[in-house]
Amino acid sequence: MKKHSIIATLIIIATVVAVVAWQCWPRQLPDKECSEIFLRYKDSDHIQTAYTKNFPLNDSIAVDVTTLQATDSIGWATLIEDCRLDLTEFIQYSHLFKGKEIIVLWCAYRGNPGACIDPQRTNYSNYQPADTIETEECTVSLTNHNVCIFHTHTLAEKKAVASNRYNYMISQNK
Amino acid sequence: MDNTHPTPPTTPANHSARRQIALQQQWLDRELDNGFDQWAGHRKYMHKVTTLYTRTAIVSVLLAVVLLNTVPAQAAPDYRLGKNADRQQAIEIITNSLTHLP
Repeated sequence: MKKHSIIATLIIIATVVAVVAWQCWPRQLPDKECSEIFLRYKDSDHIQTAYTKNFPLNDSIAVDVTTLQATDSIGWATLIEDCRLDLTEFIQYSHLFKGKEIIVLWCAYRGNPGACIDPQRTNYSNYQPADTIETEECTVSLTNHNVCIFHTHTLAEKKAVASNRYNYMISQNK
Repeated sequence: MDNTHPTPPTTPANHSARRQIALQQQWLDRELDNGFDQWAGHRKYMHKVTTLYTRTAIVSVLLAVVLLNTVPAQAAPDYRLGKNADRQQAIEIITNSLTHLP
């Protein structure tokens, strides 16, 4: 009987430990909630990847964002190739930037930052509703070697990404 | 052949047949009593064990329910990091991308 009492006590202790561990175990955002791009690069040795849900762009709009940070030249070369970045102009005029951070914004098809839609587009006046579903906003820092993909789904979200930059530009120029 | 079965004691040959039957009957009664006592003891023991585990199960479930409702659960994070990534760095990258001038 003593043996069974010990087993019963162990069962109760194990239950307590299991429940407390379950409650305190750090949770992780599941793969199905992360972006396709994040999953593509998450195990890369040359690119540090992070997926952020509901990053606030303003008081009412928040979007999911994937960030890709190249940690070495191999990672940067991969990002340049996968995003089909054209660095010709940047290299040509790099002496003018003098260490300033250069950010380039473009719109690409969802899950494929290399499929740029219109690199020269500066407003959303001609934007079609279908585009907002199939596209997302991407930025690249040419100086810090990182890519940011804003997983926008509505026109308002796209505008919020662009206006964030615009508002900052206005405040800097005042 | 099962050798664990008890065998009746041999009775002296000079005993009468009636005496031999009486002795064997006594032996059989004793065996039956012993067997019953053993069976009853085992049944009682098993009942105790079953009760113990039933109570353990009930206590475990109750404890689990109480703990699930009292210990604050770790909230699911609103981010996921890849290999060697850093949360703060990711936030800085996003903020930089949104605010830095081209």
